[in-house]
Amino acid sequence: MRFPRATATLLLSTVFAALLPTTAMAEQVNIYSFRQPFLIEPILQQFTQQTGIKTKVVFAKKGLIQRLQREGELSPADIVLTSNFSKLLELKDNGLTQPFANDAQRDNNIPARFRDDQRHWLALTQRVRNIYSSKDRRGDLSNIRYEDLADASFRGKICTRSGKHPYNLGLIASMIAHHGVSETEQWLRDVKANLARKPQGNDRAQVKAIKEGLCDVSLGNSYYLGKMLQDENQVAWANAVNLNFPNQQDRGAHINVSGAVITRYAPNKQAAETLLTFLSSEKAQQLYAELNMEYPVKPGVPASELVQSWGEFKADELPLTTIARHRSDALKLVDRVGFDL
Amino acid sequence: MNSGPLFRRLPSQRLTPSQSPPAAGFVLSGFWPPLSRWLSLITWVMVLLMVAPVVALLVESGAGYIGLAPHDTTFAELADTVLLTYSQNTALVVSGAVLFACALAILPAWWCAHYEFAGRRYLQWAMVFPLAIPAYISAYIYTDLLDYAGPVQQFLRQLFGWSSPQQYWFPDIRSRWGASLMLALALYPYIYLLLRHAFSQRSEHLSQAAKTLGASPRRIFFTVELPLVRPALVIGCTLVAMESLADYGTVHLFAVSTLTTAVYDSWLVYGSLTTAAKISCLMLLVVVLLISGEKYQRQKQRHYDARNSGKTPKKVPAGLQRSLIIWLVCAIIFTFGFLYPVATLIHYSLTYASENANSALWQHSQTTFLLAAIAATVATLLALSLNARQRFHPGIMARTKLAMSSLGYTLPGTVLAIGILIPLTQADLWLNRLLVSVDMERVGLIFTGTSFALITAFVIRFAAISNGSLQAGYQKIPDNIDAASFTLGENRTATFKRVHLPLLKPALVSSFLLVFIECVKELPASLLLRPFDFETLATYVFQYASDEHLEHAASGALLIIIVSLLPIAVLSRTQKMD
Repeated sequence: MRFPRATATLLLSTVFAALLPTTAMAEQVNIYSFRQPFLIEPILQQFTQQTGIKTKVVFAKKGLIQRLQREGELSPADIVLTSNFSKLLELKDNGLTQPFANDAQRDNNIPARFRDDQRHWLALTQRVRNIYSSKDRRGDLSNIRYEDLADASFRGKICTRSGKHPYNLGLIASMIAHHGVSETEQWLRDVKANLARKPQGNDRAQVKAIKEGLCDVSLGNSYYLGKMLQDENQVAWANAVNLNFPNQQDRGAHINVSGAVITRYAPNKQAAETLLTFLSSEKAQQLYAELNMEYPVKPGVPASELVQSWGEFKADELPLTTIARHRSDALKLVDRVGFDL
Repeated sequence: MNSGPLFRRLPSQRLTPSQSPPAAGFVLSGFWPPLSRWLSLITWVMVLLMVAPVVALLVESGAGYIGLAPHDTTFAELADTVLLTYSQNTALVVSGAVLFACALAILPAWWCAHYEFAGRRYLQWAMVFPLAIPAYISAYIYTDLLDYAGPVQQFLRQLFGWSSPQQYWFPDIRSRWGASLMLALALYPYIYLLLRHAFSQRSEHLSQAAKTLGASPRRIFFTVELPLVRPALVIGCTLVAMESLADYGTVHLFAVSTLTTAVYDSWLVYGSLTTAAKISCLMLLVVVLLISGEKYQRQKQRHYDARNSGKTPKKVPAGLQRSLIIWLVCAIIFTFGFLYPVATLIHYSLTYASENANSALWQHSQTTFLLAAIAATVATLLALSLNARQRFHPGIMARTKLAMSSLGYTLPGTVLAIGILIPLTQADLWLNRLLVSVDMERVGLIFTGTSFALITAFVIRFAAISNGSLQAGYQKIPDNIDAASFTLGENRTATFKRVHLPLLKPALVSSFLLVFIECVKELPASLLLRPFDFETLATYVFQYASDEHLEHAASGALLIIIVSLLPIAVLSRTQKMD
């Protein structure tokens, strides 16, 4: 292998250029994101437009907390964005966060139950764990409860993604919080026995399976329905299902939240605070509602028109911190009943 | 490529009495000895760097026992519940992938090396193309095709009037065998490349002797030709096995839980690094046992054979019938391994044209290309120097270094990434503290905040591929050629430069090529180690594929394939393989 000299020089200089750490010239905020860039980019663009602060993002679904932990005091990250609640707690419990300033505007925007009382994390959107059901084969299931999924009438008719996905773990943890471990274990065993196929794919894939007749009901977050309705190739799947808010007659539907923390060693803390305030503002909350079809946490900001058309619902009021305490038990249950196998 | 240069140049040059004998030559011949010692030092440093993540993991996994970390019971709980199933799944997926890959690779490699037929030059390169497609992408595409909701089953349902899954049986692609097949389709070119090279360098007179003794072509193939290429076959199978062992994307998509899943789960879901490290160490142990078992069994074998080294084995013209069979089989493999996935991706890109036209893609391609080229060069040079030392100074040290430098391949990308972060972040911390202590400004994360960490990860992860290629290359150079060179008065350096290097050229090229392609496709470590605002093609595609939206990033996936194909295309033009 012979490299022409010019190529070699080019290679080397590019390597060195890449090796030099980027020094912060203009004001900027560095983000570790568990959420896909295409979901948050429009919101961040708006932020930069409004404040002049640049944003830099690393997105990964796994391992960012471990990376942050390893980097310690040198970590360039200012903010971590998560897509579920347990990650927020994990960050706090591992001492990777710092309290953000006591900001009246932010407190005004976000109700207390969506904030850590020590101000280590802030929820930004709510997502409901819904039950999708086949319009043709199941009709009206609007009174369904999560508990009903264990019922023998659903034998071979349920589809779901992996039990270890944070959304399902959250739901199982909330079942433990309400019913205790042993009752939940029996419930999970019965649900497992009702599965039409081994847990696989994402929430959308389950709706597709309902459309194809593989199963009748599935677990899924509500915003996926909105996304499918927008995609011309998936709209047929969405039209085949009803969206049900479970447990409306008793405790209400299980909700999870996406949120943000400021890292313990944030080099640009001030900018991070500004971003946090922006994310809780009316403008950003509206964008979340319109673009991602999630439920805003700021009271008074309406959900998108489409989301509103799915109706009002009652949410489980049990504090998320209580539910999250059962997370590791939930995980052990999933393995004990071999839910994913 | 054969030993031509040796016999063209050796006799006419350097046969002077002034030439020092080999042993003394190493000490006396001017500039080279210090350089060789420098090289030795550099390789040691590199090897230590490569072992660092594994050592870091071992320390982590032992930390609970010596009281450095709180004792946790995650491992025991996993062992009680799912670990056995996971191990069985792993064993089945890996062995299935190896078997399927052998089935796909052996015959085409033999045909292309042994027979001459119309279009062989194109076909022999086309068979490498599937390597350019990451297994998780073909897995995604074949799931779409063969799933219950896919066109194949829809068609069958329409044809026979079935309406529910209970009415008929159809093989489930999201299963262990499905994962094996997807991995084999993406990985068989390893075996194919190594075997084709080995077959075309084989000693023709052995099969001629067998033919004289009346053996049928089939018997010659199974009793003479195949045993002769065993080293290459074994190395190829090992590469496929280790690659499948570390695979996460495909098994995750197919919902097959393997040991790699257990590593991810225990680390990233249970939050127990100790358990993850323990399971990784177990996997490592199995791999080491397998490899050393094979080596032990093979250790008495030596290739002493120079009678034929001077000339290329002649290819046998294939008759019309045989040519047709060859073309048919190869075309089927090529279609499933390459053509169909690519056609589907093109179809996706056109259907979702606006989502796929992304100007940032050009930038991502350049980043990817550059990173992969650097990593492939470093890995190949490292493997060359390690293997050369092992050849000249065979001994426990050289062998240990070689084995240690291949360790990284057994680690799943995410585990390796965190393993790299452990020592590198420490180095960053020390460096910054040092700078502060001498009143200089902190420089931040020099090692982990830049592409340095990513390139290191690539080199560590794929050094085993380079080692494998060069090992196979070296094994095809009979030991007595070295002896001849020494007898003719050359020292080791000259033997290396004038005998080994020309003979190793195909091995060097395939090492570079394979590592380059793997780096382009690499996902988990890239995701975790990349600096801010830095995308490789794989990470770009993944953020969509992970949301089951591959359609929106199909153009990115096509670019991965094109970037991986570039070196193949260039090489097929510049390199006269036979």
